[in-house]
Amino acid sequence: MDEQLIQPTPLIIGYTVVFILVSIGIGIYANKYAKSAEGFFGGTKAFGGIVIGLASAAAVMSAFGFIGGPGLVYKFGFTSIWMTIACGPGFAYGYWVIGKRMRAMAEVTDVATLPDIARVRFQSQAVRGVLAIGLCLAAIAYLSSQVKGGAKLMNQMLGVSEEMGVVIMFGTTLAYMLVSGMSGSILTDAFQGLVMLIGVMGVIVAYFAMTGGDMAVIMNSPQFGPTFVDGAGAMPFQLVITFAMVFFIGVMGQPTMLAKMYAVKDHRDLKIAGILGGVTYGLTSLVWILVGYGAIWIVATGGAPPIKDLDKAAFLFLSKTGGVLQALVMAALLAAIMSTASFFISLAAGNITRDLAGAFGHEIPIDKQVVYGRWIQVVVSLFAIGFGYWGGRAVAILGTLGWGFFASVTIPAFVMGLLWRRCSREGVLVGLTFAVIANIVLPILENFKIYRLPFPYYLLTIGGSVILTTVVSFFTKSCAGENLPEQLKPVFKL
Amino acid sequence: MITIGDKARDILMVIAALCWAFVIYASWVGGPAKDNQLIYFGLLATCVLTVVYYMMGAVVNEKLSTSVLIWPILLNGILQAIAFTLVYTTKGQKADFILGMHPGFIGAMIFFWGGNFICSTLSYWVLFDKKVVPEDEWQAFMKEVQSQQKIH
Repeated sequence: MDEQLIQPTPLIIGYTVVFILVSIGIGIYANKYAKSAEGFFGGTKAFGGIVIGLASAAAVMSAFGFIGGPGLVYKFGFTSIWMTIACGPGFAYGYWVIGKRMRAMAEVTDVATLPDIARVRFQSQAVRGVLAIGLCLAAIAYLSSQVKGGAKLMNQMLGVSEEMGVVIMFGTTLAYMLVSGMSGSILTDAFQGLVMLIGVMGVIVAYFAMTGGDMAVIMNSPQFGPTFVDGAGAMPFQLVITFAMVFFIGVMGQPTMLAKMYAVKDHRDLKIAGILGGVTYGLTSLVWILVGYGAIWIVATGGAPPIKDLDKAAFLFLSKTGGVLQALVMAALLAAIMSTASFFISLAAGNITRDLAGAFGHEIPIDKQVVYGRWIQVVVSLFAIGFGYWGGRAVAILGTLGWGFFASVTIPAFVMGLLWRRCSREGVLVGLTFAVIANIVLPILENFKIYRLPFPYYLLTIGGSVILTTVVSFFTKSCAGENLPEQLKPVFKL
Repeated sequence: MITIGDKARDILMVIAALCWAFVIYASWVGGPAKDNQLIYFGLLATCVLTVVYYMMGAVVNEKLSTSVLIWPILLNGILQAIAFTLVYTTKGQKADFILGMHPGFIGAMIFFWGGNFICSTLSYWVLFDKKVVPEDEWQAFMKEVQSQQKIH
């Protein structure tokens, strides 16, 4: 068992148990929205703007943001914060750019999963299949990144072993996901978003009460210095480009947001969803920032010795706060992890059950899809736990893997596909194929120390897929321009 | 009102692809060479990219309102450029704090974070009914969709 920075008090345990029970209760209640494949895999056209806004923010903010993020701030200063300050305002930006067209697609076709939209837009099972493979791999990678964070959290919260922590956390999540799928994920995510907001308020108060907002002590500390208080941080400067761009523009390529755009009941709900999602995420990103700087401040002022395990930075900060605050923030951390995990379990299960099978010519009958989907959720969870817990990669690295992978397959398929009539089937197929292959090959080359790019490789995979899709679309015509199916043309007028 | 038809979108998509290419180049070459100026130009290219996608998304029925072009679209790009300039020019320097913050920190938090919120979230709130999803445009869309069969 790891070093225990937080003592699991009855208050922490009690609040956690209540949180878990309420989550299960809401998840079971959500079953009424999950009677059809569209409801089970997509929650399509089922929820209002407030639920979708809170759920989007909760699903995007993950273990990486609450545990990995503060660790990176502790080690490198501001650099990693570019990810989170780009992401918050990126919500409404994404809604501005493609929100209405994603929602409009739910009026012209039956949508349960993201590849459903791609298949209809490009009239291609191949596009559907490649996209599903990409989304599924990225979902499992992202899900795996939640396992380590969750294990550490449960260890600190309840004093149980990390393995037992994983069983409790994923067991709870699966308990309601089996009943209500994506609808359960969305509704519980909204509740968990609220719990996260309560925790954030506690962090803000604790940070300023503890540090007085004094960053000069960090700048003048021999251990840290000016690179820990400027706007670039201690990581290589080119990473600011990647983080600022991929996490601002790339938000609209995250399934956690894209899939919510067609889950709103009415087009007018897009308004609240976009605003509330961005503001909620913006507030929760304060945890990333303040907890990270709080940990630096504690060490800079001699309040604790330097930490080696970066994932412990968040717990170091919390260990210096009071019992009530610890309970609120720990539950918020758990909420962040469970909300993200539930979404990706559902996403991967939907992609396998509905899209991969369909793309390979074995369309599962609609009435059987929900049953199969339930079983596949279990398989996906077990696989992700194994990969995440024994895969050996740090939570932070896995978190960024998933994000970049998603953007590299969704930006060509949805952003370009719905903004640009000329975007052709061949173009997007080439872009997606490049993205999937490059996202697998490049990390392998890095792991085997054969070749390492001087920037996060997902910048190349996203940019490469966009460039290839653009170039090929200029020379091909399938499902593009005048060859666009008649039923889709109204979407492009919006 | 500015007309953004298919030809204009073709051009915007080419600009976007060029921006992506330049950003990759700036990171690839500028990183190992520690050429912060090239990286800074790469950052400015991301501002252009923000504006390009914004323009395409903010179009309603092939028309882009001039006021929307100014705010939020162009202002968003300008505020991002100011943020990156502040961060680039004060990187790693011991500087006098302003409002308790390093100037580079101000660039990132006030101009990038705050500026982006003003140009995306606030504008989305204020302009949703008239410029983002005008009700008459949505109703016209629904009418057209209801007159046809769903596509599969």
